[in-house]
Amino acid sequence: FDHSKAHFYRYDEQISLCLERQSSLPSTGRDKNKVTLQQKFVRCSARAEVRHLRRVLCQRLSVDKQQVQMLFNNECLPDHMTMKQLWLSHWFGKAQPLVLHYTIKDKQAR
Amino acid sequence: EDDEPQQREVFEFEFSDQPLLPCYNIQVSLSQGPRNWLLLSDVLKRLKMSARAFRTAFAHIEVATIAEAEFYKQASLSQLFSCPDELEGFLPNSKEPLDLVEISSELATLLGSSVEYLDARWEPIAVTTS
Repeated sequence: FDHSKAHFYRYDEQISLCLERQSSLPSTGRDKNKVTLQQKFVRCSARAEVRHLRRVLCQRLSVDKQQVQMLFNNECLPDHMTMKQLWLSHWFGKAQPLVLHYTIKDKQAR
Repeated sequence: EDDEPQQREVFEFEFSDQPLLPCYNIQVSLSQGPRNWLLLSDVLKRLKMSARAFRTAFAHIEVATIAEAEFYKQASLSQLFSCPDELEGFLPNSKEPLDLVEISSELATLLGSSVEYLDARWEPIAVTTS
């Protein structure tokens, strides 16, 4: 991969996020084995979309992309929403980072 | 299709286990557009280094300087800094110089972050770090 041939979005405004795993169940023994992001603070271009974040998260957690959903206030976020849209509609006036949640569905549950 | 003349569109995602330092999208000179900067003072605090030690160890990392008032003016225009608390430590009329360092993958790594690259068309990119 040749960096010189890539257009990075690195001069865009950057959004600072905190990604927390949302547990659907109260803490159980099974929960201890759950896959959780170790590095939960994330910075990316304001033009990145939810689907990009979801994809990168799957890559980090080594799970299928269908297994991960991004949520804000328990509402599933649309794939094509940009981080800037998300910020303006849900976080305007608040301090960084923007806190998002993710869920990971069990593979066998699909 | 092997012969791709266009640039690939690549998103960078920086991951950290500690809160990321505030990043400011600022134009420091007329010869270049806005770029993303960290305050050198924040970086030094996180690295527990003096300015002199930083400049010696990382002489190739450029340090840019901007007047505090100009910095404040630009930062406060951003919709991402809509929370007044985040800029309250800055003086809107001060001519004091502020030192900035541009975000790069090298700086991110120094600060303990790791960076993921993703093609905007969705394909993750394997990057060999040199």
